[in-house]
Amino acid sequence: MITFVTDKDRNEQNEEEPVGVTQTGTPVGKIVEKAEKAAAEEAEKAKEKETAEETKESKETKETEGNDEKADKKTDKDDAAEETEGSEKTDNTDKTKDKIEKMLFSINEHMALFHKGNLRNGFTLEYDGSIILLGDVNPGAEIKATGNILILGALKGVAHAGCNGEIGAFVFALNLIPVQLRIANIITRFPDGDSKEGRKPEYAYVEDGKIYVSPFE
Amino acid sequence: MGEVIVVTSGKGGVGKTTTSANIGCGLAVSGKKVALVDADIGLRNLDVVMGLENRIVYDLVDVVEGKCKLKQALIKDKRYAGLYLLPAAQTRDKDAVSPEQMKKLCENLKEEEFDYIIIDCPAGIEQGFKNAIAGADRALVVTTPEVSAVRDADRIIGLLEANELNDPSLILNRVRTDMVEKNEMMSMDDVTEILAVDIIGVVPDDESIVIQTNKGEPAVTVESSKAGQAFRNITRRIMGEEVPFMDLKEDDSFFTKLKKLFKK
Repeated sequence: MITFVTDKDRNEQNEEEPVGVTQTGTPVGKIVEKAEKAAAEEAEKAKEKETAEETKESKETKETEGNDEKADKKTDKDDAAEETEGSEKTDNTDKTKDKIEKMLFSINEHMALFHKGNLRNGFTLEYDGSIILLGDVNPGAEIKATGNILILGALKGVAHAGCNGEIGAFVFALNLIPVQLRIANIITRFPDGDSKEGRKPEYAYVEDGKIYVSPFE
Repeated sequence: MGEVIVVTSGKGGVGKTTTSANIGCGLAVSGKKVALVDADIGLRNLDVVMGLENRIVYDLVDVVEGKCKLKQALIKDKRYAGLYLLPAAQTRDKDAVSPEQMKKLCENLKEEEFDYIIIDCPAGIEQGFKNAIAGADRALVVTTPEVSAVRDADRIIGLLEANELNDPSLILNRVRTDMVEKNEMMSMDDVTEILAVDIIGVVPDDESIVIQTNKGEPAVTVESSKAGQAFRNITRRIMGEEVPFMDLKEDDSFFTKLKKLFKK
């Protein structure tokens, strides 16, 4: 197990208030809307392709519906919360097989956003819920979710899971080498000079106010 | 009272960021309190060159927009006491900040008792350039001995003068003495003749710059590096010392040229 040391220097500098939390008020950027559209399109494409496989199709439809539902009811989130939770739980029973998925759905009041493509330098992907990214997060890019973050690729930029203060959120990546990692209001950075080659899938979570990274097996 | 120095060039890729980082470190080594400000919003690099990328939480735009205090956004350098970096925002563009806001920021930095505030200007002459020079007291123009870079430097010097930043100092970067000898590259004389401004330093083309930049540690601290030596001399000149120009190569022809320049 690799331990990230919380950035004491940084905290000392920012003695005034806890870092991270204050930024959660940032309005959702344009890219999120794009991403949502892209995700919906992606799901539709996938649906067309996999008409033969009935089981998969039904799942995809569910996800598409989920995304649409989210977009429609974003403004009155509180009213929709229960409904959202319900649909997520049905997904849950289909999938709960391994540890990561259990963790993912431990924060089940959120929907998940599927996004395909690399996040390049300067782009931010924000979502009120969890994010599943099929691609890399390059240095200088930021991925921010109120829930969990799953990256099926390399995380080389900044990730902020549980950005509304959800301490139980986690970040998973096939190659977890972030510039900086934030969960809720805890910020860590990758130790200087740590090897960045040949790392296996890992996930980061919070325990006792510190961010830990464990290999995913 | 602190001095705000903007490092600019017009043309991209001539070494503004490298120069900013090296001068900042050089001044900090000499015991000055230095703030490096990255004004290249949307294409920030100074944090990477300084090896401080992973410490960024707040940036210049957050400060300007009042989302955080100036002290929160200033990143303390990991090597030198008295050296601070104010990083640029990466997810925004140049229009996120106005020249008036930059002016105010520079004044606030002066109040923090910095001796030198070094602003790394973005390439181009648009909004980013206008922002970067807004609060500056003094300008360093970086150029390489290429016609295109010299042409752009000339335009920049004109624009600086139009904005009442008179007498900029010139840094001639990436000089290759062997090519100058063969008359394949402009010499220091040729460039100063075209631009007619005071030259504050000549930096040779040096592998160590690339090596150190990629490491995130400016070359100014490497004793053996010629470019590092050149930057050390530049920082001393910035602090008002009289330092003779270094001999870039143990070769008479170029050295005599340098000597000639001094006699003028």
